[in-house]
Amino acid sequence: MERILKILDIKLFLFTVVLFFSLDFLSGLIIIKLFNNSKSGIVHKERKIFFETNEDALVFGSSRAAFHYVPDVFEKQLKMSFYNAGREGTGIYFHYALLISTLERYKPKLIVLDVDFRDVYDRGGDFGVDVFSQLTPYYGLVNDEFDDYVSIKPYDEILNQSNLIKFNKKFLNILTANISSKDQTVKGFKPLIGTWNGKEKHLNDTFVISNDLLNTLDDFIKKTLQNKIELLIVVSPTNKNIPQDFTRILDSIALNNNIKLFNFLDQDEIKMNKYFYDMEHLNEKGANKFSKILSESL
Amino acid sequence: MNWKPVYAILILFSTVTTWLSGFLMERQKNRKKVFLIISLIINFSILFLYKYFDFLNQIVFDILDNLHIKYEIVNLDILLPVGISFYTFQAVGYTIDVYRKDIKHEPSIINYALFVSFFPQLIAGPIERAKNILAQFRELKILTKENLFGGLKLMLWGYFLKLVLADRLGVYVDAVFNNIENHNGSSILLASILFAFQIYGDFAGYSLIAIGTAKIMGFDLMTNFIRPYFATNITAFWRRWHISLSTWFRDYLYIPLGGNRGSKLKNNFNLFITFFISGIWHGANYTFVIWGALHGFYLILEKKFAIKQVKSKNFLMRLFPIIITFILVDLAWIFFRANSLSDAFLAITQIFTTAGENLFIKGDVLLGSIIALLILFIKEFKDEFFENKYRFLSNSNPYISASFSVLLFSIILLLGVFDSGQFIYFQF
Repeated sequence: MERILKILDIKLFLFTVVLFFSLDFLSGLIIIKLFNNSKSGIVHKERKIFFETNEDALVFGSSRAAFHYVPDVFEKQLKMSFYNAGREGTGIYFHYALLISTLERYKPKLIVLDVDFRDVYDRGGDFGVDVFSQLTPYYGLVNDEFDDYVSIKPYDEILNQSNLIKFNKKFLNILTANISSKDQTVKGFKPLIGTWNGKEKHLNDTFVISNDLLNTLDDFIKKTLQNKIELLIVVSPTNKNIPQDFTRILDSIALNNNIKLFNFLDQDEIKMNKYFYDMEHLNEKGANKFSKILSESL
Repeated sequence: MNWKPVYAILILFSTVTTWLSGFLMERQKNRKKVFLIISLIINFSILFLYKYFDFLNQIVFDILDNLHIKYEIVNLDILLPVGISFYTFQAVGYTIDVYRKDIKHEPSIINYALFVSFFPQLIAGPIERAKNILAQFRELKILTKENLFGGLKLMLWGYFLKLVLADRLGVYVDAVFNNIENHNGSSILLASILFAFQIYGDFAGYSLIAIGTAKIMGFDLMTNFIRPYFATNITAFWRRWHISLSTWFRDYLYIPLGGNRGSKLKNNFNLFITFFISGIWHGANYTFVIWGALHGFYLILEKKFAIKQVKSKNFLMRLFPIIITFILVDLAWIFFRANSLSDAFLAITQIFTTAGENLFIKGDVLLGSIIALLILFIKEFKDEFFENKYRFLSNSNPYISASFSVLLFSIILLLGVFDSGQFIYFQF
């Protein structure tokens, strides 16, 4: 230590520290400006669903929500405004963060939660705890509950004070959101164009139930019901092999909380290749058909 | 690649036997060839058992299966100990050096053990030479300003190469190469180009972090990469790429085989076999074998047609050979990266048949790749053509140097990928 102090030029050291914090601060000013100005892509949609939605009904979920629920179909049938808040590559951890943010602003009349098997079984990645690093740009912008929720490691609160670290996961998305000005979604819905060729992917999947995911799902349900919001749980169609006990788990959750569950896993009329873009996602035709079937049964 | 505490026994065993063989070679000079052979057999047997046994088994199975002979395959299914290829080569190099009297046997087993297991370069090199580094373990090391800041700057650039360049490009490369059948030629072509820079960033990044860490502690490790994609022929490429391995093969395999002495046919054979084995060193898979063989083939052709490297300091004069060299190197990288031989051939077929179709790449991934590659190009271009001008990190003015270091550190924090996997070369 003595040796380090001896070779360290204090003036140069202070210059370096001050320069770093100045750079962090100044880049933060620019990034936040760009962040607020996002016009397209996932940052634009995230900002919309975190800060701007005021629709009567919201659908939460992963890409299987974003590509499956056609707001116009639901609006026509339910006679209420509808926004698709589904976000690709996310799971229940993200949806719960979004719920906190939504409830800070207003209480929708209806929330549809599209549950994916990744919301029950640990799959890692952005469906798991990695998603919290995607949420750091919203740190300090929602409320204390949100900040506590996204700070999963003891030092996260300190790291999130740095703009460079806070925007690490989103910086490139923010730049692209400013380059392209076209919002490709209609009330949050983005249709997938194309038809699945029916090729099965051979996945060596092992499914392990995650208590953390289940607890977050439970928290989501409890929080929605406590706020007297009508909640529907939906499992939208898929051709992927889902673990057999998935349905049993969801049945039990729905029964215990006295909420409606719509499970499309076994509905063959909408499992044909022509309705799918790929194994797990409906194409535009499939999304319209699914939205019609679901909205009519509500 | 794996690490278990029990694997420490392997490196300990290799260390003790190699040191002992060196000791015995000096003591019993008339039997030194015997000790050399014993040491080589022990070291290569460990490597073979852990790295190649299952692969060889598979080859035997494939051959017999083609002959309709039923053969019950017994795979060991053991995990590859981390760094085994690197420390084995380092130990073997030492043994041969002592045998050839290029160096004297190290009397202290502690110093020798430090040489074999020196932690910055244990896992993925540079593969050090005893004559370069053993003496350094005997010296008293004092932390100096030059070593501390020099080492930190090397590490900083290494982290940029790994976190901003390699791991950012890896997002796209992995998505394409892990799903070749669902991508068109345009995407595969782009992924294969990006892989060339991913593996460079990953491996050169690791090397710089290792060299920088060692430098802080007062040790000078050998340079492992010198801007390889500015090479103007394949020979020059191998003088710039993984230098510690290519010089190892030159000194301990190519030259003992006869090098460029003898007939053209013999010379070509020596070249080919050296690169063929270099391919196998990288991994127990046909893909690496083809990769190595392709480079051997390139070098034979290069000799046959007397293709010389262009040493002009004018970038435009070098541009054409740089592009040609890159295309050849990149074609070989497809085999190196592909998950299987059939994937590699499918990738090449797709490139030549559907390369005109729409490119599938997300805007943020493309933008991140462009930014990382642009920074790399500026730094490497400056170093290649204006070596002593416009110094950034190594500017003689400490405030300018510190400013660029802070800027680079900030870029890493903002654009780095912090949740990706390990270094690619850890698997070798």
